[in-house]
Amino acid sequence: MPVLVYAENNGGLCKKSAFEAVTFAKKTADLLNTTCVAVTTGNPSNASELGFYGASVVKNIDLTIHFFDDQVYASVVAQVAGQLNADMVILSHSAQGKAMAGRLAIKLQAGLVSAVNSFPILNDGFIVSKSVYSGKAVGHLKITSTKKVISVLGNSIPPAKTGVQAEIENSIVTEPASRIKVTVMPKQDNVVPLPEADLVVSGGRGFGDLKTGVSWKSWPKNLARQQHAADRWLTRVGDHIMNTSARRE
Amino acid sequence: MGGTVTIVHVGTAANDTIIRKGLAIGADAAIRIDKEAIDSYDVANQIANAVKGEDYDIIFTGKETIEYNNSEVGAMLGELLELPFISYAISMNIEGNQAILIRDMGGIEEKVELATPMVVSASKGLAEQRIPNMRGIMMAKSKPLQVLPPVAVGTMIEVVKYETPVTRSSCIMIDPENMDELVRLLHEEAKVI
Repeated sequence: MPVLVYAENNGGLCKKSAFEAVTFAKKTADLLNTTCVAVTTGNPSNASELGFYGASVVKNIDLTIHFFDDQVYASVVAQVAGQLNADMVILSHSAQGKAMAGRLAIKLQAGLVSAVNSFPILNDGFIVSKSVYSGKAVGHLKITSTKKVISVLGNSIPPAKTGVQAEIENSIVTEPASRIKVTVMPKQDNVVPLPEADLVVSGGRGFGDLKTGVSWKSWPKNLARQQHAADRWLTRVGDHIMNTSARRE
Repeated sequence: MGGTVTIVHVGTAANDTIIRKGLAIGADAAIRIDKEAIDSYDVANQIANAVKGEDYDIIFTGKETIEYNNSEVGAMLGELLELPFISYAISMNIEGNQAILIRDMGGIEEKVELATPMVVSASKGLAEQRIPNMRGIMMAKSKPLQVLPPVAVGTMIEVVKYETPVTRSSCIMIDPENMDELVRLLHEEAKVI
């Protein structure tokens, strides 16, 4: 029974969050003395690279929809989990992962822990840890069910290359009809989405020179672009920093 | 939409004050499932059981709890009720039974169209918080608050222990006139430039 990891892609490319999730899944599979299998949708161009991070094989699902629908995605990933008899499904704690994890947990009748930030400990059951109470404590949680769903917090597990390129196999699943239509998907070139950022440049709304009254509002944005960092004002960043391990400078 | 709003809450009678606050800012009725909430799985199942068979057009949830930051209940409700789920909605317009929402997909905003019924988790921007006025507070006292018994759900997660996190390094204050020092620290210590 392999550990199944959903490796999400954005614009046809698996990104760092996917590599982090695969690294977590591989380490967990090693602890459980089993293998790690990745599942992707839409045949991302770098899917075979998931093997570098520990996936022994990549199961790709070709979907007819070209946008994210958690109902469809959770259904097809659950079907692959069923085909492989996988008791554990790992996801990134990203926008997609958050929307899917709850559905998957219900579908698989699995215990769910979200935003896990360290590898599991198996001394006394299956125990994972996560930041709780707005970062003021670390909670150690035991998943008591046979089936488990875990989402991995961004920037908490450094991607580790331990393997070789993986073979890609097509998975045959039944795609349920989507009940939503995504009509606008603006691409923001050169902008790092906040949850994917290693580094966050932030500044308050009143950021500037008090003596001259000159606003420095553009300064954090320019610095962020130069450093390939995310830029946000403090109120928004405050919410995010509590939930990730991104560095704030 | 010309409809009504019902608050659904899982908690004990100690939380009635908060529920009445919701009634004071405009909700028409409330349902409280009488139990201490255990986890997302428990809460989602209790709510699904309470609303199943009712004719709700939209079920709104929050973004996440402040205790565990899980973001789980909305998706679980969507699955339990077999409804579409739109996460992190930042705006919504309704025309008939068609809804147009903007959702935040990790910094990228997507426009989503779908028909009701649906489950929506609300993110910042979806609505402006209102403060109850005296008339609302007085009216809330007479609005119906139905108390339902819980269903047996169980849990698949146990809290083993809590620990305090590793202390973060302290903030370094730099003289605004000393830009060279700022650049040096960013370069040599933070290693970000």
